[in-house]
Amino acid sequence: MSVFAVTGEFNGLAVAIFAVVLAITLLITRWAATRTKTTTEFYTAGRGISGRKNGLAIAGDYLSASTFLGYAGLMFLFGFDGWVIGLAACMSFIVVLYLLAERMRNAGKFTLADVLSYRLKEKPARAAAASTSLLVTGIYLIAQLVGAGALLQALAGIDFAIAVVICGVFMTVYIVFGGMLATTWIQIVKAAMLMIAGVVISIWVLAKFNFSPSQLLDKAATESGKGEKFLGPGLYLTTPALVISTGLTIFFGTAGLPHILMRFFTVPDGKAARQSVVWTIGFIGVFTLLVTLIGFGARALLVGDGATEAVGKGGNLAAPLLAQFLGGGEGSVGGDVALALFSAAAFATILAVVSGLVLASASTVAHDVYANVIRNGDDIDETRVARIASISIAVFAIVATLLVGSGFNVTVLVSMAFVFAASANFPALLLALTWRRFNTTGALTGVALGVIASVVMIVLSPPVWPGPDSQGSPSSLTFPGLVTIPIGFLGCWLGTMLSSATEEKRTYDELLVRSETGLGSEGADPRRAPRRRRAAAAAAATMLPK
Amino acid sequence: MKERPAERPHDWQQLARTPEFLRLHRSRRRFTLTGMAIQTVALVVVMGLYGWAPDAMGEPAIGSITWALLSGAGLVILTFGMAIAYSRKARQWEEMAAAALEHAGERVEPAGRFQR
Repeated sequence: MSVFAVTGEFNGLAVAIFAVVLAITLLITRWAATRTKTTTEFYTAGRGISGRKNGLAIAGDYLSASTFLGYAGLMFLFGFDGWVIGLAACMSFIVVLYLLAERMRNAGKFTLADVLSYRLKEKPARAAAASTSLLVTGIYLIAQLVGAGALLQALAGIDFAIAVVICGVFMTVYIVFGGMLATTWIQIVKAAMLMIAGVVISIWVLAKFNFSPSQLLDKAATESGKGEKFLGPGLYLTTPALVISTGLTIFFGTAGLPHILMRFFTVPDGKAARQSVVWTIGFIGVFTLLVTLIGFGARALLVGDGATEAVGKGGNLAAPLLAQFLGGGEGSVGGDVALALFSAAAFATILAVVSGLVLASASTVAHDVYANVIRNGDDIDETRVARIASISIAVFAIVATLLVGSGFNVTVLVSMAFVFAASANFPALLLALTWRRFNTTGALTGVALGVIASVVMIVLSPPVWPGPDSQGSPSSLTFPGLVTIPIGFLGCWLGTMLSSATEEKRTYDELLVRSETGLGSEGADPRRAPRRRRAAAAAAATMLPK
Repeated sequence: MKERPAERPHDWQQLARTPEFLRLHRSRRRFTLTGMAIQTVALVVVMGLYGWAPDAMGEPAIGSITWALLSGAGLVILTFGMAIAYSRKARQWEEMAAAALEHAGERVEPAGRFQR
């Protein structure tokens, strides 16, 4: 008989804790709803989130269920190689910090397209940025919902379709009523839950091995059946091109994810945007180190009949089952409570991440597509349009998720989102901010070539060609950024050099000075500024000459 | 929400040509390019070692901790270091930005923000 819980059985305790999580999130939404009236409050929480809180929220955005369960699961199955994607993800925030965070905050207003189209011909540049933003967030949203449904089915025994609909309905409620403020606070609560769970489990695992990492690694290697090879590279990412390409796609892809970049508009100024990323790197770095203990700990401790079967094909249940084991195992009160608490953290993660994605998509539809492309910047009630867009996007995402079903390979979707972000969004965004000669044709060519190259390479990759998860694909690159990112940059360069377009809306000097000094940047609503900053501003104002 | 005062036009071209701004821009560009080069090369070299020398990277370095794990932890520590270095340097840039704006006759707002 298996010593592990048969996944998919109804778990009353887990469902009860889920209900508590839902109640907390609804209270947050109710509180946020009273403070979400204007367009700026809806999209950016009045630009009043402090750097530290925004840093935790960005970490929360990034640590999705596929991240925090996926990395530990991959390490359970493939050892060290499961950690490589996490390493690249941690390092990727340096790209965001060095190249984009302050510049985005100073130059932008609500969306990624605001920055890209700042000095270019507005309609085409905005339309191109909006298209790729929707592509990335849409794909990522469906990936998260597929993962959410499958995970809740396995952990709590809730039917896939019901789990997807529950997540979809609640994410819509958060955004429609609480906007960015509710989404941010749900992210903060969830990220804190996740960090606490990660620290507790890691210490618990180490305690099982007398706080000796070597003992833990030896046991993990022995139990894996692969010996010392389990502690080194080569079991999952099998060729040099595959390792480097995967690393580069994640490294540059993060800097093109609209729901991450949009967070820089929620802080009062460029300094707070910078501080946000520094905090994010702190949180994600610690998590990246802890995940090795969780992944190898699961491999070392989850032994016996059915362990590999119980963690699932992608290893996603390794971390929850480790929590259950540490609590006393299946059938014990401690084990059931630990599993239920860990599942609640996973549930909160899913809700928070999908909310952020829907908000990013809704902002793109309402602000970029409707207000600025269709209505030419006319004075319209953008918040109302964004709320309607949120509901429409949620319905679309739920239907699309139910159509693709729980068996769909989420890795393909996540890889697509990162490849598009790295190859279409990132090159155009970076060059718009830093290359004086860059023009509208360059942006359109770069985005188009980045998307085409990404589609072609994904179709030729192992999870897709010639059929799902089959052998014999022309390309071995699941994350083909090594090929597609240079093509994105090449497209931007070629388009710019071959075009004589000079119809810029604003000058490069304006963008440069604004992005590097903050002069003329969107100010925060004084009522929403962090308390300490309000006090400092008031004190400084009294010292200014009248 | 209370309406913000109308935007005062700035002479962006003149601002971009002030010696203080040029110094700020060069300093930012030099630091950013160097930092990005270090981080990207570190990623590619370590990932390359994982790909081309998996056996060597799988050898124990300290106890059972392999070179692969050690270099991975090194990348995380490098990332922390790069973030702290940027954060420190950015404080200098804030002063340089304020000097550039003052030189151009722009009013510097409290709390480091510059209103239109």
